[in-house]
Amino acid sequence: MTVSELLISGPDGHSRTVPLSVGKHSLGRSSMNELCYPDDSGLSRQHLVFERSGNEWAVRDLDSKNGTQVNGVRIKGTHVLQPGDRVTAGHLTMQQKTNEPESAAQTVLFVAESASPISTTVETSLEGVLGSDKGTSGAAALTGLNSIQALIRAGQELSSHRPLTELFPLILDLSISAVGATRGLLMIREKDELVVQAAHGNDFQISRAVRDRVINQKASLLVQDAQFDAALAGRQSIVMQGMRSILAVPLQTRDRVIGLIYVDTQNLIRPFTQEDLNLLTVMVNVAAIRIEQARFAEIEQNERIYARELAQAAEIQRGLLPANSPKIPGVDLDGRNFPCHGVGGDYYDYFPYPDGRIGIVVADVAGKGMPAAMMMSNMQAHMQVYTETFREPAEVVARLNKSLAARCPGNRFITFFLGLLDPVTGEMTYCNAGHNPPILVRKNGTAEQLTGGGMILGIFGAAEYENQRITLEEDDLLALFSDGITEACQPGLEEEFGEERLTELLVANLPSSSSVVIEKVMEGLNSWGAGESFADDVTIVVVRRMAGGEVFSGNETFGGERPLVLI
Amino acid sequence: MSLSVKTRQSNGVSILDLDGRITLGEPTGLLRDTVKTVLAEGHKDILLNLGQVSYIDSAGLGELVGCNSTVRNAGGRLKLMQLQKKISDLMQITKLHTVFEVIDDEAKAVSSFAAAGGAS
Repeated sequence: MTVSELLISGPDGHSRTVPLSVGKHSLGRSSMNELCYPDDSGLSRQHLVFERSGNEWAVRDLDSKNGTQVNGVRIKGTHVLQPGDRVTAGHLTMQQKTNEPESAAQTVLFVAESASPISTTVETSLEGVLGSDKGTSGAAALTGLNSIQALIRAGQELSSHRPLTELFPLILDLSISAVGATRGLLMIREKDELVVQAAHGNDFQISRAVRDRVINQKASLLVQDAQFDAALAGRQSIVMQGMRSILAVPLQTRDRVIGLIYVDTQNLIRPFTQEDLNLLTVMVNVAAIRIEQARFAEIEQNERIYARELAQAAEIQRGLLPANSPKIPGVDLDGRNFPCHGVGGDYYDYFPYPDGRIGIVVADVAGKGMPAAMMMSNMQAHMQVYTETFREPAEVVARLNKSLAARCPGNRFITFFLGLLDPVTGEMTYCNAGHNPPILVRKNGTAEQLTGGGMILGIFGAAEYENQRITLEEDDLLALFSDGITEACQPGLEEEFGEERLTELLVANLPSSSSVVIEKVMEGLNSWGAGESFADDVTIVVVRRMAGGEVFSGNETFGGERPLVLI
Repeated sequence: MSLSVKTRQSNGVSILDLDGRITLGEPTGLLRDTVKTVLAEGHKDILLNLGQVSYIDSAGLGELVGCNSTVRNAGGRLKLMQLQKKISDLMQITKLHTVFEVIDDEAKAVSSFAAAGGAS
């Protein structure tokens, strides 16, 4: 329902704002009208009425003598108000103001002042009711049987496990029934806003002063229209007068106010009492603690779900990487991957080609964590198909790039290296799409980078790629790695591990097996990072040519559950 | 460790002086938001001064590419200025130096926008 206000300006510049809430607001000289202007000689006794028409408000002229004008034009019968319409009658000008609501304002409107400024207020606080604040009269006020019963009931209802979505309406219902209110609202603070979480009734208008005192000063308030008593004496309809008795109390836990509960009544016979105020104050405090408990439980639950899903995702991702090192005559090959957030965007793989060559891949998706992992698995799926279809690395890379560029978000890309190594000749044909240049350490200890290559994947679908060639001699070592290694920093410092340190470690461990070389590199990296967990995914693959077609012992045979590639 | 961005105008070119590290998270978000703001203000020619940027991670590099697309799609041009050695190397490895026009001298960079005419 749209929340509207009517701004009425008189000839003397005096203006007032009237909330358009109930179905009708009549205006005229007669005191029968809700909007009564007895001194405006231009008005008829019953001049016009504002009434709801679906979701909109309309003005209807009640056959007044001088008529009602909208934007200067006299209307006949009913006119549905459009934004900006100016309604004039007698000496009055009226304009509808619509507060296009945030979600909460669907049912509540905070107003500058309550409709009737003449009101009495009783104020207390939780401390006051519980008697810890000396000098307040609230102490020992909760002696009434009804109050005790209401508290017991609330305790029982709130003790069972419920999600927040059920808890909010339950607390509101308990509050309403405890004090015999007709309507009520439960609002929770979210950032700087109060958001309605449960409502019974609608078109609430709450004075900002009341709201602020409850939220900022933890005050529990009983606000009574002073005319209540007068109305009672004069037997006038309080509903007609729009008078209410209201209670507004904070939902507080220790020192924090997490929201408020507002209830009101138009019950002529039984307006709210101090006892009601005390009861609601205590009850709502219990409810607030329960809300906090439920919130923590939900956060914990969400964290548990997330942790479980992350663990499952990590397992799936591990399944995309080689389970073990292949046993190939003449080649000693091993790799490791350490995602920094459980899952990651680094990837490596090896696979046999039917012509006897071995495909070796290392890739790195920009970013880390779950988004990078999703791109990585997409890339892996495409790559599997393309390596089975195309013979040479540059073709695979070009096709992969084309596929990725079509779907890759604008700020993501993948660096990718694919090499095909012939274990017999040591010749490797490779294509590098923007990945860190691999380091080749020759038998004699000299190191070089495999520079050159094409554009990173996923940016330009039409990018072209070329094959490059190199020959690994016996006892040469090739290290492929992600920037998680070379760019690892010491905590709080900017100095990176760097390619030089990596190269030194590779050279120093040249005669060792690939798995030992990887171990040594990881040791060096861990001591560089002072044992802190890595800030980026770390991947390393080491390939060594073995003398005389030797099979490096200790490694598994190729294949296992991984499908054999057919060309 | 983080990134700061100051925006200034020179002969119709918006120069964004970046200082710090362009890495995943707040820095990439700040870069993206600043570029969008500059575009929304009607400035289409943008020069990123990377002279004080010591490090760009892969996500940061991705953000530069993303900004380039955003600016081009808005009918503007994005150029880079004063790359430190490491970042220049990174551009070479990734071949992004073929995507971005990189000019070291500010005056030349600013006048290059005028010389080249409309968006390329």
